[in-house]
Amino acid sequence: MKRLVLLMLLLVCNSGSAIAETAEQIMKMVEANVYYGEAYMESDMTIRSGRREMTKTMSIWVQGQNALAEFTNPADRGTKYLKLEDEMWIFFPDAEDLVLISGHMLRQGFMGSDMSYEDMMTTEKLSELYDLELESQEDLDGRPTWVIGATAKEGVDVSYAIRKMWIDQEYHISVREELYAVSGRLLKVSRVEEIDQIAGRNYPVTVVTEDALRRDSSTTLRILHIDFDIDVADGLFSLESLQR
Amino acid sequence: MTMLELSNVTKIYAQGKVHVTALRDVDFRVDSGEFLSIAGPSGSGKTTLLNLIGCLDVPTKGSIVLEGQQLAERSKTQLAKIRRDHLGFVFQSYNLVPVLTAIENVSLPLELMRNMTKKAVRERAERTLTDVGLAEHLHHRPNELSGGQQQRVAIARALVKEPSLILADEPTANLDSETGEAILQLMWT
Amino acid sequence: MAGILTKLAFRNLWRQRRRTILTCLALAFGIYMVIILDSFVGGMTEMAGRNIVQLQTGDVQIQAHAYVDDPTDRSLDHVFAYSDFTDDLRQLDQVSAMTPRLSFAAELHNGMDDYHVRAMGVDPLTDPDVFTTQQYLAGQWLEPGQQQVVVGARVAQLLDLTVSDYVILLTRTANNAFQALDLEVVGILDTPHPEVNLAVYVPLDMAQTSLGLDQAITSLHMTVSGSAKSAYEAISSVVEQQNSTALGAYTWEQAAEDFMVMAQSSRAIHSMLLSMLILIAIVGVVNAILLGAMERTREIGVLKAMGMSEREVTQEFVTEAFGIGFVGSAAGVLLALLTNWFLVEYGINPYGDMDLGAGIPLRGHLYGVWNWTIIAGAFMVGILASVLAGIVPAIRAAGKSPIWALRQ
Repeated sequence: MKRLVLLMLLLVCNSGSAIAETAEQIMKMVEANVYYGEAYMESDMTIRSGRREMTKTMSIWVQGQNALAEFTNPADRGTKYLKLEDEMWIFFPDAEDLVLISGHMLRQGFMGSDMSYEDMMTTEKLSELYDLELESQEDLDGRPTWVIGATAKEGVDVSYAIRKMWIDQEYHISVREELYAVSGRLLKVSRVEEIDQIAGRNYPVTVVTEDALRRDSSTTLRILHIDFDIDVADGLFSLESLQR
Repeated sequence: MTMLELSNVTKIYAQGKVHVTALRDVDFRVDSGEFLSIAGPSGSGKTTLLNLIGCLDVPTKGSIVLEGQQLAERSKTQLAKIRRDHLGFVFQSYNLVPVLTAIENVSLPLELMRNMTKKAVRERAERTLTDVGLAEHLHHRPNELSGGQQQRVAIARALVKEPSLILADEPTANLDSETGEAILQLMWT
Repeated sequence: MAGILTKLAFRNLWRQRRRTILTCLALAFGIYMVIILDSFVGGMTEMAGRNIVQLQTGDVQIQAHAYVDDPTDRSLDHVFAYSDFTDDLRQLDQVSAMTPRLSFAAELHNGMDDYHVRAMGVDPLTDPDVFTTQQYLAGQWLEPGQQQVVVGARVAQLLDLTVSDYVILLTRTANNAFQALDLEVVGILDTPHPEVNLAVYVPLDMAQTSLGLDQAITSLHMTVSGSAKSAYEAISSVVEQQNSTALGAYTWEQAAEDFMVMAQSSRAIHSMLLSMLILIAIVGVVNAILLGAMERTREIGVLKAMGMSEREVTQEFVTEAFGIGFVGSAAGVLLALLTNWFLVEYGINPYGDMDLGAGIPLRGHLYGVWNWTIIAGAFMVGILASVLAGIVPAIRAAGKSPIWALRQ
């Protein structure tokens, strides 16, 4: 669900265009946009692998560090994911089973997608985990971006030793990101395909993640609807609510 | 000398709730060397009487004394021993052991007594079979012999151990009259 | 006396030879199955054990308790530096060879598909001292420090790999970061151990560098000479001297616990087979004696009238039961000996190239073993069960009243 959090992180940004001098300053602007308020979203996720393609739909409630996602497509209806701070729980309605994602399970793909649970769980700020460097400025799809290289700090546990991000200079949204292995091999690419204005803010509403080691494999996440003005019921982000 | 004495012998068979009296208060005596025939209509208790004397069954009441031995209240094993050592049977339907040859059938009673060598048993069985005129048929199985021949084997089998008493239950009933006559003649001798 | 009873018994068996032969055949079949199945299970166990020792564990291995306690743990959390041990272990006469291995979880990508594998960093120079892996190799063996991989045949088949193809091995470093290694397939391993055919082998030093592990390994494998027990104890005490409570010495039986549990369960199969055999004997013999007694009711009466005791009649029928038991058992053993000779000498290949699955560490040709205890045991049990089964119906037959029997 980190991707969701990442999304939230990317979602909210002011449209000011301060002149950034360093990579750190740019990342701070991006991170400053992290919205820890409350939101309700409806979204869908299309997982493509070779000729196979499946779409899952879900409703998501977010409040600060906590998030609850409930799948609504027929095959997965009732499956719920709960992120509580740095824990992730899944509830399977058929088995009425509650599972804490831990250990090697964290490395598995989220609902068969190209995003691992671990990718979705990271809550630390990138600037704390990586040494950042402003590499260049490029035009991406006709829009000016800063290209920032991130190298994992010594001794820090991160999945991707190297990252490369393209930050839209106007929206302060990371519109493209490349994730690398220690050896320098490209593993994943994610790019924002659509940015929309919702409630006066700019949001990336379509993000495509591709696995660079698998040909013809991608996961597209779209936000269909966002509502910021919600009342989160008491106890929504609890294990009890999962089994309801 | 008295060899067999029956006094007040009564045999009642219980068939479910019905009691059938087969023999009532039978008394008689047989001396050694006597040849006794018991005649009577079917169902009059001839076979029952033979079974009692032959230690195959026990009387409901009364006593049977065979060679001075009271037969009442003896165990099955003791009765079997008396049959083995003192009695010879000849049945209406021969009842030879089908898997044994004539000489083996005749040897059987001697072998059961366990007091003779193999050779002695064989010689005696052979002599007895010769006596009944079957010297040519020593190694034939019962199914290879005629009715008369089978009954002669049966008689040899009863005679071979020289028992005190031979009990024959209608020994000629299954034979033609000529053969029957010959069999009776044989038993006389 | 015994002579006449035995004669009667065997003549009567012969008289009913069709029934006798059928009963004997059923019994022989039971004996045959027990011996042959035991030979198979024994052969499988022996072969599987050999595969485990020669391809997976060596005679004794040192590794973290944690990995043995949880065989699904493929993390690098319990690695150890083995240089601490090597000098002490080399001092031991019992240790004739040793080699380190580094086991880690990985995904092998061919550009189209990927497959989860157990990757194994092996020392290309010392690994053949302990393991026979190379015997099953098509292509080249690994060279130290090279970006090379030897893949199991099953993996090669699943990912459609041949020698000199390039693959990407995706794994995690000790720091949990993704590591992707571009490797050349130099060899393909087609071993009789299915698990090995699902693994991939890379040079240990290259793996250690790539995973940020310096000199650490997950297990140290040894071949021992002389008594396995004393060797194990000597190795254990070396580990204890190092004060490493997380580590332990394990014999191959201890390391391959799952397999041993399975091998134990073959004993359950033994008792099941043996009970089946006893059941066949009982049903067959009881049937034969009961029918024989029924058919010969009159004969029994005659014998009893002639003075044969109940004991002797019983004895006659029990002798018949013994006869069936002896002939059936002997025939079964004889057939089994013939078949098993073939199995031991030539073996069979019942599953073709298929894996047996269920984690049974063997494949391909199966050979039988000679287990004289079972062969003699089956023979005795066959006779004993027949005789015991014959007793009750024999007593019943002997108990029939002679008058009733004669009246038939």
